[in-house]
Amino acid sequence: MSQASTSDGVQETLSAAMDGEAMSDELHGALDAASRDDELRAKWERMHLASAVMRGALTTSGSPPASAPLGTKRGRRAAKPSRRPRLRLGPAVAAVVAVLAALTVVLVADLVQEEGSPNLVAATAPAPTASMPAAAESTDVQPLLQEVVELGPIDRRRMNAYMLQHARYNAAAGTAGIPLARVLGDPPTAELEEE
Amino acid sequence: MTEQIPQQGRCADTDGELVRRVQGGDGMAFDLLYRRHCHRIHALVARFVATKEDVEDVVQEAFIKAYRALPRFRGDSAFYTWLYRIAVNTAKNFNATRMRRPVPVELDPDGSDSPNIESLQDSADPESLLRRDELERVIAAALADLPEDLRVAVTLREFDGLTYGEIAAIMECPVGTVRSRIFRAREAIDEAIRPLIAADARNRRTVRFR
Repeated sequence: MSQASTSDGVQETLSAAMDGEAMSDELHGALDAASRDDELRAKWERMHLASAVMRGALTTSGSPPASAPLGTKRGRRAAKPSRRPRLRLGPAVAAVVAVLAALTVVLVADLVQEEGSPNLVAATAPAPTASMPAAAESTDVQPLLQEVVELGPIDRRRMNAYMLQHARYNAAAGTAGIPLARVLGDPPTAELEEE
Repeated sequence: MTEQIPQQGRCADTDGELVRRVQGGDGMAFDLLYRRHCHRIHALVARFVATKEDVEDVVQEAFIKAYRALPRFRGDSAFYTWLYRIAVNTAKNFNATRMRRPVPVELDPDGSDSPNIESLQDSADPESLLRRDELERVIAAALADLPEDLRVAVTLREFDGLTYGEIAAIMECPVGTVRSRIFRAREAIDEAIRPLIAADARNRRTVRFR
């Protein structure tokens, strides 16, 4: 390694360059020196490696290195659970969910009244209303609601049967949630087809 | 020919300077870019690709692609962001050609100074994990042994991501002192990890030539 490249000044500049803190005029000379000096380049690489380890970029457990002061920004960031990929449902899906929630209220109320069991209405009707997005109350939803209501007779029977089942389950279990995902995703079953 | 404007007193964009050098025909500048970013890119690719050998192949391919494309790099985005995208695309293409299911991740190269590469345990082999654990242990010990002023300076930089100016304000000293303290801290850490890196390099050579 040449005397010039091993000087503390050059190495200090390279250290500052790692952080984007080297001055333009000195950076040229330091990079020139590094270009000529294998050992200096190797050292620069090791410093970057150590920096990456300290910054948590190469940790294996997701926790900050043992030396990370608790409560530091980086420590807190590393301590956060890793982000999971999110399913990005668009507003259209949200609108459909809202419509189905609204539809659920109407259907369940009708069905339960037909069954002559007013207690079930009390058990099921408030829940979807509470979790219903505000958009469901908007008049924009009405045409969509109209489309959903105009289901074919088989679909309507399936929906009604399912909602009735669920209303009974809710009443028995003391829960009030409406599993909209199942409404959307359940394939027709033999039991429902028979009804 | 335009006259170069002296830029004394202004912090330089290290990657930008290296990119300009590569574009000007300085191949050694690319080696510096490689050494600067290879570890983070390696960790990034390891999130997508299963085996150590495949990771190394993908990293190499990504850097080759970057080198070839660098003449066309206009600097619209930061170099690392650009390199990050190349590496991710290379890894995805690799998985597609191998008919493997790529690991879904949220891409956020600008979200932080490191792109959320916090979890490598799914794809790293035990040997790599041991090496990284050992590296972390040695660095932690070296940090603990530092004089307080050096430790505080380097900790504020590496763990909290503060600028030299911010550190100077906290430590109530000139920016030049901060810079010197961070360098001396890094020198001490480098002294500590150098034997480990050297031993690791020897082991890798031994394995390769078996």
